[in-house]
Amino acid sequence: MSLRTKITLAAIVAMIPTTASAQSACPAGVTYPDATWPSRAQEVATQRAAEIAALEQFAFTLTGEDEERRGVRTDSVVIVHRGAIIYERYARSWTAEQPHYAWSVTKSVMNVLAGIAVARGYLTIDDSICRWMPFLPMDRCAIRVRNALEFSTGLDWRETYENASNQESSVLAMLYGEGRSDAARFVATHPFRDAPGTTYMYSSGDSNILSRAVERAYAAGGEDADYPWRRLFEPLGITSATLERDATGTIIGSSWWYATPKDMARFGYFLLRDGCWRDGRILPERWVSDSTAVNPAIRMRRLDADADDVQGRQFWLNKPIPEQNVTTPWMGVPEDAFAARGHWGQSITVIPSRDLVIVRTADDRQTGAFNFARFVSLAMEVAR
Amino acid sequence: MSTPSSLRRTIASATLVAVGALASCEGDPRPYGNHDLALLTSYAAKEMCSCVFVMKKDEPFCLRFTRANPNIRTVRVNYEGRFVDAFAALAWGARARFISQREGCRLEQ
Repeated sequence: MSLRTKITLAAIVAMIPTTASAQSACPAGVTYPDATWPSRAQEVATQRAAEIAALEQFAFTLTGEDEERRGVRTDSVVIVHRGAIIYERYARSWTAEQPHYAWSVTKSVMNVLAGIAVARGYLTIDDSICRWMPFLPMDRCAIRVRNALEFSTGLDWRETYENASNQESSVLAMLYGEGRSDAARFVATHPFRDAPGTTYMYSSGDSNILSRAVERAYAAGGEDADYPWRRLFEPLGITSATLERDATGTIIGSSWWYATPKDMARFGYFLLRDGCWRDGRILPERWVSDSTAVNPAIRMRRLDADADDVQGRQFWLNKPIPEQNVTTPWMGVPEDAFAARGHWGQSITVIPSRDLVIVRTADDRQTGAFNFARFVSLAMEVAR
Repeated sequence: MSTPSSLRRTIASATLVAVGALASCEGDPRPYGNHDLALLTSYAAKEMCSCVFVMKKDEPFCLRFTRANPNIRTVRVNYEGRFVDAFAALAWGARARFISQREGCRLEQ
């Protein structure tokens, strides 16, 4: 059967609607921050002085002149342990009040906005994207929301950035070139490389298809463009969030979330608490666990060769993929750890077994200069 | 009837079209219409705008932050109008406008 025939059959099946949603109890006996985070930083500074010194030596030691853009260039680190900040530091002129870029950490925010849409009955992950982008040709209807979440749309995408040819970069074309006025349409009209759901390849494009679907789902549910604030940021007490959009008003769900590090920590803490906050469950039951399990497409065939690239649904994982002979990528870090990660060293790392959230913002421009696993291990020592 | 100069223009145009068609053959890297200077100015305008108005960093920091290769763009921040213009090589330019703290900056078409 040809790729075209397979995709057309899958498109017809994908148009059949399904439903999903559930509610369950939230973690008991935990606290949530009010307008400000509780802090045990002073106490921990005394108790863990050596561990903090080791972390700072690794994360905050600069190399060369600023314009050389070499080495590790950390802008902030915030560590939340058992519901309280135990460490925070800002560097390179950044302050606690300044929202920081997040780059691909934004993808994990889109995952959560999708999850809330599922919880509210606006969206199912088995929806065809044609339900939300009806202008697309029939063969695109084989792509489901699930495929966008799992980077398995099969669209022929080139995830390269500033260090590769500008002409070949799908990302640069989407953000700053011909795709900038309507990112989702630009992405969804790329040719197919494979049938949807059969291969994994990390794609900022897929995240923007997801973003369009999510936005249209909220709109169909009667919600205006402020839905991220109404449904996520305000309930969590996140006051610094910016989500930039293209000319159609669609959030650039791949890249353009901004928030202060302490607000990023709220997002991480929300995930640590399984998508619950003070007033109850916000994400569907099992949404976080499903999103942080190795996704099925990556088990079948992954086209990214990077050994560090173990993905759930818009989250980076520390899980092995036996089918691909991939071991846990973050040496010394518990296997239940997962992270929202972005270009130039941004990360929100969640380690449920340690009751721990670690935020790092940065401007690492030198490829390979920063060792993520080493950083997380050192931060874990501060929380030991 | 074509004059010699218009004939030359016709031949040159046909050659460009042929080269363009060859460049877009299936199997080649996707032929985006990314002109380097168009990307450069769009990147500079948008990221400078976000740096100054969303992240609230000062202009010298943001100029260093948005420096790209080749570093040939000129950037002007209009604080009153809340927009940023970026130019390169006279013919290329882009503007990004600050919309609001929630929506940040957006490239103008």
